[in-house]
Amino acid sequence: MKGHLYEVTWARGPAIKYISHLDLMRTWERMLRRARLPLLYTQGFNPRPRLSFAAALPVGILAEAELAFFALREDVDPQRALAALRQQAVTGLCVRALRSLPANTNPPQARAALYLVRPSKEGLPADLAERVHALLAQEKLLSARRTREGAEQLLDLRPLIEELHLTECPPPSLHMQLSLRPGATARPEQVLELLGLDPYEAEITRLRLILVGPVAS
Amino acid sequence: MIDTTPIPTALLDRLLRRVERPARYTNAEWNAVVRPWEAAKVHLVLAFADVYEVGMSNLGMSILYDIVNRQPGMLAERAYAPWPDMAAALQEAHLPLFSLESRRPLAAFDVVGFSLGYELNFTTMLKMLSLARLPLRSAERTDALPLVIAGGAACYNPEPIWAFCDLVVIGDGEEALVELLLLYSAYLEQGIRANAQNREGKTDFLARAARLEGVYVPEFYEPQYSEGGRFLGLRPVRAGVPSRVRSRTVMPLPSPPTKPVVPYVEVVHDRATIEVRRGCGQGCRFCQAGMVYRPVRERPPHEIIAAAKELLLNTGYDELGLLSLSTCDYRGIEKLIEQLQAELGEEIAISLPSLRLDSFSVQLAERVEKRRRPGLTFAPEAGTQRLRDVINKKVTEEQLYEVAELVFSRGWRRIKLYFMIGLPTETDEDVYGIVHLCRRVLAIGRRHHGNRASVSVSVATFIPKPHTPFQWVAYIAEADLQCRLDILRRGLRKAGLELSWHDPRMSYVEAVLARGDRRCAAILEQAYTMGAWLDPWDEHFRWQAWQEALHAAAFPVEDYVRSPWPLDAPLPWEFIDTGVHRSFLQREYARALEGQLTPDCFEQCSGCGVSQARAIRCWE
Repeated sequence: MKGHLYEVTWARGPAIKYISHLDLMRTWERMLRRARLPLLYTQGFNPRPRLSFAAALPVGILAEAELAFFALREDVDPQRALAALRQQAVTGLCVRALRSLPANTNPPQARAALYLVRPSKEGLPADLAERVHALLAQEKLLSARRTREGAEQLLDLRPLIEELHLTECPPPSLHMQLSLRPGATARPEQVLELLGLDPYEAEITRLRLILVGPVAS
Repeated sequence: MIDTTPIPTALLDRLLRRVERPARYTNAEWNAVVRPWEAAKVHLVLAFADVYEVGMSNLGMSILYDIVNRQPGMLAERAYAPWPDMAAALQEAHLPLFSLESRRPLAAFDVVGFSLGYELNFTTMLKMLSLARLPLRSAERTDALPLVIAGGAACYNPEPIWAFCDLVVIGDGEEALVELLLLYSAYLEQGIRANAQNREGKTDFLARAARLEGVYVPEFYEPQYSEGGRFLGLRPVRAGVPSRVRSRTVMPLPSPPTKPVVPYVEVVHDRATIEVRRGCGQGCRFCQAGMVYRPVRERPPHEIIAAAKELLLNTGYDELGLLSLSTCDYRGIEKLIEQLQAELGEEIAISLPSLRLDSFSVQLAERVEKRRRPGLTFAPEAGTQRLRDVINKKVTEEQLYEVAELVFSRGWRRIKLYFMIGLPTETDEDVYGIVHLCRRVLAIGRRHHGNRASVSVSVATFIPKPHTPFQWVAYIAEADLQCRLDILRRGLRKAGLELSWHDPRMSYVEAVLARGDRRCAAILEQAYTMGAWLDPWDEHFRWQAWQEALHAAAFPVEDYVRSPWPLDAPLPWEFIDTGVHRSFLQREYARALEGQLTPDCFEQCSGCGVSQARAIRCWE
């Protein structure tokens, strides 16, 4: 990315958990403009601010440490930019940290993400540990999903589950690391369904993203 | 006792996870105003009778929200019609329709204020009342329940909704709404809502409200009909209420809202908007807005520029829309745009919602089109010179071709043209005229861009609207309508031409309601009961419900809509005094039939009556 590149770490709280990724991108654009940062725009008939995200954040999922990258025309002190962005942040969006990246870095993409699933009121079922064990013992885990065109598609989730375990510290919760690569993305809701849990009843938080390769620092 | 507690988040969460676009129902948008409930003396919910995406693009809602929330002791929140999946989810969960800001049931508010943009929103108002678990008819709502009021462009003939609203604001709402809330807050302080027995307190309030300019209290008036069911007039049945209701006109325009709510979800007009001018002086004879929002009021350039800067800073939008009925008519528009561009910087696009059909407008569009849209839109409205003269659309065929030449030569590949069919005096020949024009415009495009040029043609059915010179005209006969649509379908079936038309069944319903009298209330109720609401949406329009409701009406609807009305007949909406004289409308109608043009107000006063009625000079 050209210009002065910045990486911003942000969290999403319950107030805005139903905002789609596309809407979040537009929200970020507006926040950046309100913060009066000297945004670098793309060329062409429809100039857009140079802004990208390490991963799309699905609707309904909370997040602790998402990553966005943007480019500025001028070198701005990260502390000043952070303060300006915090002032313009929408309810439920917490700007956690901001740092500048070396010039000509390509904004990294996430290859996996770590999720925390907190149980609903009823708590997690008593035999969940066995269910997790049984699930991981399977060679193939076919899960149906609907494509954009409405057709059903079967996806093997097993290789996309990089990690899945129960934590004992109260309240007991479920940790999972799932692949986020293009065409090979598992959603935590799908795993919950395979475990026989109602994905609508649990609170899912994306704790962090695991990036493709290290970012030069 | 009315339950005023907010709907618990956990309960709502369960619904939101299962519906489409849940972000429409969650508030927390930037610049949303959440005022402390207990501190307010009067609580208003602005209810928009269509979905969030449409309502959030409505400047009127934004203006009123801003004004009320700036008043001490007042609070305004918002509610929109839920999409049917959410409506069903609410009903299933036994939850009432709620406001966005505090998530309180609509019944918790002191005043529910509906914004009604056009006639097809009426049933949605009924649906929202019912989702809010409020009785539909005012007479059945006691003092304990909210006052239900309405306003907006559709209210220039409020008779079809007379039974559902305690009062209707006619005209500009900025001042009237605040006056009403102030007046009502005194009644609230005296504990009006403790009375769940009857509506005596409301009646007393309404009697005082009826004296405010622009306020119509339907229950204080009674219509008379002849034995044959002909409307004879409306007369007041309570002492002290005016025999005619004067519509409200604010002058000068109040300062524009500069901290509007910024939606997360993409809405119809996703940009910052400034109203640069209210009203239009061109005098198109079919256009209700051009007749009722007189005189034309322009916002001074310095105010626009200052507001635009604030607005963009407060919202973060990258586009500014200059809103009015005809923005190119703004005096000094070129200079205004030049100054705006200099002040706002080149990242901000400026958009003009409506383009006049002349080269000046194309040049303006060229100047502001940073983000090149694929094409430009114009409205010749009719296919022949004769018919354009009838409707007072001052555009010649040569002008259209010149504009097309200019548009295509400047790199645009698409032109969109708006037409109407069913206009008074129209014959098949006028409709062949549309075909001819569009084909020629396409031919011009092809010379510049070959097969990549396109002309999209959007055809609406003309609907005679109250307070216009065509208010007496018959709505087109079904056979003629089908025949003329056929002419267009056949004539415009050609690569590069794209024809779209309004559903004639929707237009028919709109035509009935637009000039309807009080007997339409029963039709609305019936259609709603049969499942009609969100009528402007193709996928939700329930023609069968409407057919049954229209069939069951207490008067011959077909005849009512499709026959010309005698020029001397009393009209159901004539108790509203917009300042424009009946004699002017009649004169304009006569001139239409003779094909005589009437100049723009700015060029020459045509004596519509507004300047005398308001004791003002239209162009200062």
